[in-house]
Amino acid sequence: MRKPKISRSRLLLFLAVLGPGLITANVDNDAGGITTYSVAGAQFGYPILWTLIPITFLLVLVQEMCARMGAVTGKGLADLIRENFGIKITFFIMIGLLVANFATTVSEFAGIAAAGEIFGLTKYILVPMCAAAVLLFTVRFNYKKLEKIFLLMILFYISYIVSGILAHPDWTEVGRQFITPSFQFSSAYLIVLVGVIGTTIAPWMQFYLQSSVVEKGIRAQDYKYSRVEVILGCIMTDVVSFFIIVSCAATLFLNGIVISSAGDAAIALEPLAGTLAKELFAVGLFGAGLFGAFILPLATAFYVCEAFGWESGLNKKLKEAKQFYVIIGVIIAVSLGIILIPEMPLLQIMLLSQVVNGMVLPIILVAMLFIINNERIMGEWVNSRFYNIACWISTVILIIISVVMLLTTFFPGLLG
Amino acid sequence: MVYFSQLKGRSVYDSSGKNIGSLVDMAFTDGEKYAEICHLIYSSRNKYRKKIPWRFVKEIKDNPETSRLDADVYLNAPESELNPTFEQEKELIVSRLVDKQIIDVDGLKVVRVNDVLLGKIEESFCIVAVCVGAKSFIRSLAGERLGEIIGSKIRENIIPWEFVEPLDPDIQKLHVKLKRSKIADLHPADIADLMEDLTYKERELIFNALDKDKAAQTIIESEPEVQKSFLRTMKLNNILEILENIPPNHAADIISVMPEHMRSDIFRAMNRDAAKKIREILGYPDMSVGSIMHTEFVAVPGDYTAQKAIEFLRKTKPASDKMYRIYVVDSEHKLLGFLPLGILVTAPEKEKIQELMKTKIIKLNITTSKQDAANALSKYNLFVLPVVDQNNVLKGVVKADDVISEVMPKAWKKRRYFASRTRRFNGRNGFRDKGVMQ
Repeated sequence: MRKPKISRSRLLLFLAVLGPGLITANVDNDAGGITTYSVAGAQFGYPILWTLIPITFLLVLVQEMCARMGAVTGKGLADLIRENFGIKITFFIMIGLLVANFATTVSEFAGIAAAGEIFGLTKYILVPMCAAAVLLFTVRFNYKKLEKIFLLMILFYISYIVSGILAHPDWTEVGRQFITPSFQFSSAYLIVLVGVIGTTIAPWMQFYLQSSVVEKGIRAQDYKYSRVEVILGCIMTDVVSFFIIVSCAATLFLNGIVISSAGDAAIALEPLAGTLAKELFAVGLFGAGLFGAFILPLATAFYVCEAFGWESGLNKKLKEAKQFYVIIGVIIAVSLGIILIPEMPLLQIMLLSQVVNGMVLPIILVAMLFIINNERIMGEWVNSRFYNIACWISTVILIIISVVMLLTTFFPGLLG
Repeated sequence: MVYFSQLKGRSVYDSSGKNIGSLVDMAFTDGEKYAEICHLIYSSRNKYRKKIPWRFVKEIKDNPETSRLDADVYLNAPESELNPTFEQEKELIVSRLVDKQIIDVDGLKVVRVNDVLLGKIEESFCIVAVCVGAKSFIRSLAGERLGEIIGSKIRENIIPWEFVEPLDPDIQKLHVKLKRSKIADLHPADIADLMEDLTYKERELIFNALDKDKAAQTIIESEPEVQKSFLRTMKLNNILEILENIPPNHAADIISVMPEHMRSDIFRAMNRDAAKKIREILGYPDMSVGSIMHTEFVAVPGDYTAQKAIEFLRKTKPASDKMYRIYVVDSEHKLLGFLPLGILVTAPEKEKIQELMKTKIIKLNITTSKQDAANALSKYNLFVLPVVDQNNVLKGVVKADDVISEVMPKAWKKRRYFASRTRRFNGRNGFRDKGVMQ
């Protein structure tokens, strides 16, 4: 019998396309994400774990489409949306993206503030310092290089896996709940669910992944290697989410502790899982927040300028790329202002930002499905029938969940 | 003149005054200065898109009952005589320009089209320019009336059709066929900068439209990432052709970004002399002048007479910028001195070169760092310096322009500089680049 052999050149090809999927996976678990998962675990315990299975499946579907569009067309998602839907629809999608990304940036700063409080640092000093650092990074350093440095953040995420193990969960129970679907018809559950979906499959991530694929110069012919990497990235993202939920469920949920921020989650972990678990949690939160705060305003400015044909890029002068710098500046400044307001309910802000993401997602998904099924654009790379069915079903479910969630928010009595 | 956004959706009336549908698009044929509109495409109530020749259009006039901006289309024939046809798949239609990216060949950047400006040039109706600025953006977003209010203070920013290079593959292919790819007139360094803003498909389209010399120069001037993307799709023969026609130091630069297997294929197929020179350059450390020096220079033996040296120049016909300084070497190619061209041509015919040459010569060692080379060039106010190995054998010359681009901080290089150009447009309707009247 012959052993299957991976030839050297194949392996090299795989390594050559490595990057976009893993980096995107990394950015995906930002401060807002960590908070959302913590709250989900603390509020609903292990029973919410099973949702990660369909969410991962959907994440793979969506990211695979983005990577494919990037490889086949060589264009970014914002670019494709503008060329296919015209200026008006693009404008509304971009407004949605802008609001969602702005809210997410606020949540990144909130994450930094929460992490700082654990180590006894006041947010009034730490957050402005970090905002200044972010601006400095943006203007002074090469973004590609920084991205590679931040790739090392994978190490931060190991801290969540360690925290999860230190929390000593009942693994048989975890396993059982993970594979048993359950559902709660309550407004709180729906909000958390939309938040979890919104943060895992954040709309801006799809733009980000597609541009990374384009910048990396991946072509349709090497796409099959890229696909493997994208799927690996998706799984990695959700493994981390899994451990965050487990660590909060094993400690906070079982002891009935209500938390109001990811920082609270870290503090509450201390007596139950040890000081190390708390500190690891906080360090991860800080790193994720800083990275998110750096990359979100920048990425948003890029996509908006791409869609509207404005000059963009950090190598341009302020006068040449006014809109680009204004978007970055305004997002950072206003987010900072919101965080510095005393008594700001940080948790609600962070959760809300992910909910906004969850609501923008179906719109982007519909747009993506129209583009990827256009043979003039994708040629032989259009979706297969199975793929389309799976995507449309998911989209419809997402829309239903979002609508029901909105209804229950305005009419609290609806679900009892 | 009228904007496409103003015409789109307008009612079309036949000669009997019957509303036969609304204008949805127009087909055009491309031309040098203007693109003539050849067909009107309208959609009647039963939703099919139909195409009729533009000659049926009598006038586009304002509807007196509504505001002046409503321009409806009036035909000169009854509906029964129109004989509409259907569009072909690859028709050049105006809406394929809108929302797309194009290259502004004059302003040297990639921009997005918000609207298209149409106008009557002599007897035909033409695309005169594309609109890219904030005003057209607001107009297409907020509608005409609102756009007029919000954007009243903003000037229209348009690019005359003459300076537009569309990126839509089908339109592009047509351009290439017409041999009028406007981009071919640009300096290779400017083309290379523009390439960075394009997708790989667009790059290939444009690249294939360039002639061989320009293509080679464009590759040399491109960023490594762009070079890689070219090399991946080019045929081995074409790459060879380019590499053999450019100086070995540039060829070495290009080869150094190639993947390993491609490199060995190239070396195997290349003529032996060229391959040897390139390998030698690749062998020098990255930071040394050896890796950027030119191996083409003019050197003559010291025992030549002035006449013989001039005959040598006549025979070999080196490029003029390589002749200003003629290097003098002995039989083992060791550097003895140099001879300015001016001294050579004014010297008596029988005079020996070694009597004429200047022996005080500043030279660089092949392992000298690029920074030191830059220092030497700047300190002695020279444009070019000879490079020798440890045995004083002349190996090449280093030119100031090559050193500058190597030692310049990366951040400066990223600042794009486009040589200033003048907009040569003198439209018959007398409008300049900005500020259009209706």
